Amino acid sequence: MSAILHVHHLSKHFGGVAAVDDCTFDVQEGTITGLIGPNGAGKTTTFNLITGVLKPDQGEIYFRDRLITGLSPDRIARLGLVRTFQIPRVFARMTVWENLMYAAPHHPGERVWKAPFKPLWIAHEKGYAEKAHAILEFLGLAHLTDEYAGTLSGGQRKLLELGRVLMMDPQVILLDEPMAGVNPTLRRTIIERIHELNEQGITFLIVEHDMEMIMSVSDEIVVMHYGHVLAAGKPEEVRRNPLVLEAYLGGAVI
Amino acid sequence: MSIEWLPFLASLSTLALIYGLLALGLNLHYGYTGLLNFGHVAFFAAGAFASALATLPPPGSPEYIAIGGKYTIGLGLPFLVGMGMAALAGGLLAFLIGLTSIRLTSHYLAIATFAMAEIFQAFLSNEEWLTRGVYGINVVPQPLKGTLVPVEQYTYFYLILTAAVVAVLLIFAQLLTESPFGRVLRGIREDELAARTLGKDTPRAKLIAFVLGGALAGIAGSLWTHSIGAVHVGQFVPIVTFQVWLAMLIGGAGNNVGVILGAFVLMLIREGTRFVSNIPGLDRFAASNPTFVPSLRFVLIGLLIVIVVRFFPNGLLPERRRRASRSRGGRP
Amino acid sequence: MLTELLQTLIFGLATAGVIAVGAVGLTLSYGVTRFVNFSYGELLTVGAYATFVLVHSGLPLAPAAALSAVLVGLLGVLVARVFYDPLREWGAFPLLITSIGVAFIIQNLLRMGFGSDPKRFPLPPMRPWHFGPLYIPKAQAIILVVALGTMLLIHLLLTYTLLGKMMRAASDNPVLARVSGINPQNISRVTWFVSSTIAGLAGVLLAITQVAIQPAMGWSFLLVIFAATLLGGIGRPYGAMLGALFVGLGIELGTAYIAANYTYAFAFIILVAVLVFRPQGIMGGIE
Repeated sequence: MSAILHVHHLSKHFGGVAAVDDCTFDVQEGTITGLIGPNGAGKTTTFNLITGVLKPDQGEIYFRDRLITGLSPDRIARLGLVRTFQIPRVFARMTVWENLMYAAPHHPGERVWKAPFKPLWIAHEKGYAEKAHAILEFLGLAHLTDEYAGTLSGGQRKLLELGRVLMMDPQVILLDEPMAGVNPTLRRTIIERIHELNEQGITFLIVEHDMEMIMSVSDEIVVMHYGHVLAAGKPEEVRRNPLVLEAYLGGAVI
Repeated sequence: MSIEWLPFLASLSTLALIYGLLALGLNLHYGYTGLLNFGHVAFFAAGAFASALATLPPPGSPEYIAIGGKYTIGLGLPFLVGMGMAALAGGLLAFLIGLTSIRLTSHYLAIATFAMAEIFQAFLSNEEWLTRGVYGINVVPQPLKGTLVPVEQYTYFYLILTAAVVAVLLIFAQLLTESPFGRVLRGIREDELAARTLGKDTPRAKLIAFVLGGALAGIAGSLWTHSIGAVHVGQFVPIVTFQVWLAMLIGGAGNNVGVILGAFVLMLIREGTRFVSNIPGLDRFAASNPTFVPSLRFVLIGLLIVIVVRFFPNGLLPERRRRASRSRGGRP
Repeated sequence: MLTELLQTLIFGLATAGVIAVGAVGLTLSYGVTRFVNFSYGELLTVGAYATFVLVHSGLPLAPAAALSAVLVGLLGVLVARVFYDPLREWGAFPLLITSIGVAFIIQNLLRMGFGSDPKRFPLPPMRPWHFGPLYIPKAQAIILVVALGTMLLIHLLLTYTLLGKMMRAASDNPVLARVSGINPQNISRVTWFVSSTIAGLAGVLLAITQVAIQPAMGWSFLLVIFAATLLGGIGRPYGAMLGALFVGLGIELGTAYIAANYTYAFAFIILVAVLVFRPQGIMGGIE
């Protein structure tokens, strides 16, 4: 297995404070890798740097050995590296179905020259519609197909975000706190879906505060603290690492 | 209803359709893409002048002398070509303004578009060789007037012409906004960052929407200048932009038919103020101050903007829910 | 050549003075409301007309101007209460477009009452000072003195009074300010009052420079004030003063040396340039 994602000496400062400080780690292809650390450790900022939402002050990011630092977020997404947000960013005044269709890649109907001429893109649209419906079934959201995304609960929005990125046939999915604010039943659903998708070959990098969940789900763990990597390895190793225990102040949770 | 009402209603309807077309363009900017364009009148002006200058008889020609022309630029091209050039002018100006401001956030985009429209107006005012400045041009050709269409019927002919043009453009706009391209725009309106992380080139889409809306406004400018046979830089003031905003908000931003309806409602309201000067008590005021009724009209416009935004933000015709079954071939 | 340049600079300073007063007022109100108020220019117009009416009713210029400024201050608070406060949590667009509506209402009510024709502003006739080849109209000197005086007062208010410190706190970090016990409602009212009073005063100064008043004067001047405010960094009073200096000089130099008819357009160009290249302005705007 090779490193599908390689973060190399990444740094980002905000007005004198180093949010991310000389951060280096790998994500192996086909794994579920957990990214944990106390609040303010720089996890979401790292996500933003990897996905092109922010530009790093220093360092590089490699996706499949290809340098992606400085590329625009849409470019990176089209390469197969996608993400969800801590607080879901669904399109509130569009339906659940439209939210999914939005993410359909390389849709000829999105080219302004072709858009007014339905026959030029209707076949693609129907194909994507089938795919969208399949994904909604897979995620258990089919009954909400025509509902405005703004009416969904927090947990449902998280699933919707996952559904959207799945439309893009991604290779790597970055999940930012998929469990936060989600009720226990939906949590189980989300975890099961992550496993199933992982078995189909999708690599996951998950930021999560729910220790029990992340430790049991992940193949690998990366621990961040004050913007840099404190430890990395299998969950059992990281669990016993004295630096990590110290960082978590007694580590009652682990 | 006496006979004079008919031409009045006809020309009012033409004006409503022209404002409707302006609103259609603004709808593309704001209703679908969420862009705060406070300078829409600039595209209207660009189109009007482009069409006028394109269709005016060339200086020195027999027609020029016959109409007593004093302007310096005239290409003598046919009306439809003039309209095409109006679309290009509006689109090009939108492209230039859009390049600089499309990545600005709401407040700053509003200010930037407003400022650039003012700069454009200052330019038009001062470059007399182009526009005849404060004098304006009042010999703009009106297609087929006096030739194929008798002068008395011209108002009705022009109404039909305008209606035909607006109908075609409405269909075009509707096809565009109901397509996946329109969907991309709406996602930008909802959450541009999310749209980008889903692989969409949002700056490009915004610029395209801005250019298309500008082109529509340009065509409206062409229809406008040929309807009255004149073009004058003083006609293109910010209150035009904000009346278009009001028409769009009344009708329902995000609904193409709605915004045209909103333009008609706006015209009705505007014409309603005409009768204020007949109210006993106010008629003395109106008589002593010639700007009384027009100013009252604008007070009303301002008040309506405030009221509609606060109490009727969705307008008359809301945006339609797009159901999944449509694209599977089923009935909506 | 040099005389012409110095003369232009002097006029530029006076212009900058008027802009500065207006810009400081706008930037203070932004600190509280976090929206760019398109009806701000109308407060200047009202200040000018109120002074006009008061002088024609018998009051001397200075007291009339002062009283007008206070009246405009109260008007500003009232307008904010009726039109803007209810929309506080609604986002950028409703506030922006509502302020446009308010601008049309105020401006056209003035037009209905006074007509569109420019009216001569009641200034006592004053002989200009002569320094060799340069001449300085007394009016320009007064404007400069009043402008500097106003800026000094604002500086003292913000730096040394409790009220000023609370205004600054509420502007820099609204959440923290609230937690520290600063009542947002009260601070908002006071800031609107101060900002609108300054606007009224700016209107009088503007009327002095333009000699005549007309209903669109504040609206036409609005973008010039925006230019100074944004150039300095939105929400930063000292930035606004600095921005006003550059914009004022820019207008006078541009009008004298580039194109006489474009006047305010030079300010608009500065405004667009700021937005395109450095939206945070010189001092960095507040969020």
